Amino acid sequence: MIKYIAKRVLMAIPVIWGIVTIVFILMRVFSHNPAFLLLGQHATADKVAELTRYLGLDQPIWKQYLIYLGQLARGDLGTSLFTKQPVLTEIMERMPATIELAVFSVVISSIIGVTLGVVCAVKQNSVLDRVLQVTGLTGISLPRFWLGLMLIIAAAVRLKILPVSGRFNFMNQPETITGFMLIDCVITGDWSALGSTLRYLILPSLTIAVASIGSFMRYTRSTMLEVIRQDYIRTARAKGVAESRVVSRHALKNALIPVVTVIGMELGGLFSGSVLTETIFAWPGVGQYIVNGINNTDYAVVQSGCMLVAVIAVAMNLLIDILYGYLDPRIRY
Amino acid sequence: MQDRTDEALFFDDTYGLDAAAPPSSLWRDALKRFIKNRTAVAALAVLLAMVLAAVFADALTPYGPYDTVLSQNKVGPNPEHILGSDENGRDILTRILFGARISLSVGFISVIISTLVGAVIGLLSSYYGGWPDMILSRVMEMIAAFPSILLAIIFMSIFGRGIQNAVIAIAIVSIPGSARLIRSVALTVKENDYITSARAIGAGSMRIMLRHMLPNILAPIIVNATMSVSGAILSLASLGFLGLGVQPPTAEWGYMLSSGRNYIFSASHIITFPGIAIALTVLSFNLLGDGLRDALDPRLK
Repeated sequence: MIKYIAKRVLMAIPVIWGIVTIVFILMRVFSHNPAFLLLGQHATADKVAELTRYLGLDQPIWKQYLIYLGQLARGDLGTSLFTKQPVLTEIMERMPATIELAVFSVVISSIIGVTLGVVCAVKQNSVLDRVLQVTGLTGISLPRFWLGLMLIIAAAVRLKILPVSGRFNFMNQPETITGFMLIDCVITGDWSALGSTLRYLILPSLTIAVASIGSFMRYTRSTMLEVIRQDYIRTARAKGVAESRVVSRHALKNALIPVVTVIGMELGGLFSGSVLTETIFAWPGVGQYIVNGINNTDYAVVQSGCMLVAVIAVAMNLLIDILYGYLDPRIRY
Repeated sequence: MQDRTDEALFFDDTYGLDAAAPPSSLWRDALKRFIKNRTAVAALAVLLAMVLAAVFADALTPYGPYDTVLSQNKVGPNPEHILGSDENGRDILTRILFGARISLSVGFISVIISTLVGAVIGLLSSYYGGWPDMILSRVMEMIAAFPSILLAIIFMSIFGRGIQNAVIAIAIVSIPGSARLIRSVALTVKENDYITSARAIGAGSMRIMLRHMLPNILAPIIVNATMSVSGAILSLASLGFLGLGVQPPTAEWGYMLSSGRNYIFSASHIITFPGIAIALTVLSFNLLGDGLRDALDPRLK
């Protein structure tokens, strides 16, 4: 097992290096000189040249690349050209917001999605199954950003029941301990802030959940249908196990293993920031941060942000594979 | 019939069978199954109607996509403007119809590109194995480790807005998915005896890949491509919404949503209808893909 993990980590290194290189080339070779943006449109050519030299952007590209790799090797992710803050600090400040939204949405959608998937499989080809199938597919087909806007119109403007953007109410926020607002509220016992923070979470997580519920439901249905045809299910039924117990204990337990993979992949994707959802709800997360960096040609932000996102994706894939082997003892690495 | 040799007669698959019985091929069976699936047929009908509406958009509406009547801006649905008008007094239905041209063609073209490239990579990877597979798989992993929308955003912000760039960006981000799928199905096909026999009678690598492997993995490729069109249309709309898709004021669904976003409280119809157009198109492609999968691979049903 340890040998397997070590091998996977080693194989991840060239992938991460490749991503770092691709982003470096895209940003430094093809995009504009950020000096123009930093100095504004009235900058003189001298000033631009001076700043370019100061930023080290007048060096040959291969030299810039080596300097950059050297920095990364020392764990230095660089500083933002605009805020002058270390990128790592800035990303770590935003990570809790992204993770909180991702975990909250995925927990909701897996509970609902898996339950509906089981219902569909048990009632295969019934009217209920067909309706849920099409509804789920509709959920997957809705553009997330549009769904977010529609939810804002419905819940926030027409009904005036939920906040339309942001992560918390400035008048009612918990003391920052972990950065995860819900956890901070519980630690400090600030229940009114917990209620308020939860209200801010509802619309963005619902926006994400609608599509996830659809895909988890479809996936659970198909794996359940596969498992239900297995011999051990027939055996369980033959020896007189109640149907509800066959479904919950014999079928669902086995069908869930591949479903866990899909849920993990969704979570990994969301950890890198749901760019559009964060934009619509002004959610102060990682996705929004990287997109702002792209718009500002902020080299360090984009390069390090993309690298972190890739590291998270690769690590999540590895975790899922390990979890898979743990859940299904037949799989041995 | 006279010039037929015994050998030809022997290899004729109607030999000894009732010649009047129609031959039943995989594709013909699939077509029969597909026609029975009412939801999928309905989705196909919606898509065909949409293609026709996009092609004949000029004839279907009295307005042009850029006809601005400022005095008539942000009016709700009425007999003159069935879906209302936008912030510049342009007819929304007209812009949705013209937008369909862009969404559908970007969807189709980018998927054709990503499927072709994915097929080449997947076939080469699975056929040769070893280090070519290793390298190609790692490169695909690199692209796949990015959230696809983020990579597309970087690409568009560097190379600039425009339909052509959008097609390239969307194609690039969808290549790893199709390559991975094609590689995995090609790997299972490669183990079949007919591949070994083809090699035994001296068929070259190219011939084995294109004549023996490709036809046998065509079904999953078609299903995947159909589903990918919906993903491509969603990506284009997302890019448009972020202001990174086509050049304004082109009538494109995502851009329509982004410019109408400022009026979501005062004139919500401006963003409602383009969103419905996107959802309907994407849903139809997904339903069509589902139907094709059930028809082409009955084991999954």
